[in-house]
Amino acid sequence: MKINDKNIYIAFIATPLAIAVILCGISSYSLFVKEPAIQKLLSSPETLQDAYIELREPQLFAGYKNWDREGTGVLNTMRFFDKRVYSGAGIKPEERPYIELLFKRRHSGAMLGMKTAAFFLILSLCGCAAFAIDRKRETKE
Amino acid sequence: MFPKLKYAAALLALTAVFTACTKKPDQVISPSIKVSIEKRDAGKVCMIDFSCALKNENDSVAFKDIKGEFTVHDDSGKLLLNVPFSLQIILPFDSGVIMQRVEMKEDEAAPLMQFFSISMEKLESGEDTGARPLEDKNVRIASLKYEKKDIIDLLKGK
Repeated sequence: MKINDKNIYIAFIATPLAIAVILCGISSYSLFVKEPAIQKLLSSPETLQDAYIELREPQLFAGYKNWDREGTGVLNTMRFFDKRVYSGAGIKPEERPYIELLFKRRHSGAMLGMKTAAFFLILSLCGCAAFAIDRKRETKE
Repeated sequence: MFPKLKYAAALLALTAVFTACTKKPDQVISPSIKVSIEKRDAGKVCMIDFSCALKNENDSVAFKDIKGEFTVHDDSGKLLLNVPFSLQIILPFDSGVIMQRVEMKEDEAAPLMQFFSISMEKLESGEDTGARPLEDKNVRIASLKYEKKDIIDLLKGK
């Protein structure tokens, strides 16, 4: 049975491309919609609590479930501020650097998504190049 | 082939993914008891102070209005003590500390005292503090009811 090379190439190009588009969409929403909105909330002492609540929902690629050594600060921050906000004590302006730790984590997650999207895009482009070279060789033959 | 079965399997898989996300607080952390004696008109009463913690290991789910019961057993599984408890809330990554006092008559507390090698005389004379750490195998969660709340919904209401 002859293998249909064209379909294999198309699958190899389309699958990473689709993944790249999804990842890029999710990360772009975080980078260009959510982050500016949160930064605006962070800039005012009155809206620090709102910024914290926004940041309490993690970015898809920077979830709060798995902790590395760098994430310990974020874990302790959340444990502390969950109690503070729940008890109605609010967040003081001098505590802003701790909220910014969560913001940095969100940004890192979005950047990770963008870099992963770039990797899949390169894979897809490699597929395109291989397909083009193969077609060119076939036409010569 | 079997299109309905495929849909059912997909739905089941999706349900499993979403429902498996919440971890129940099923571990009793650092359980201990402290027995003390109080003399009343009716006779001696054993005051058993039970303490432990329940940990919420979830990142986004808070447990609210927690009600339940711990049971303390000896090594053969015989029931020694029931400890009903209630807690208002355990926030994500936090531990809820339970400190509950149970009163028992002298004869009712005898098996518990015997298992933990606590004597009335030593308690009364102050020779023994009556405090004992409990091993995990001797403490069980007999019942546990709670309301699950998303942390963001909970905080938004504040």
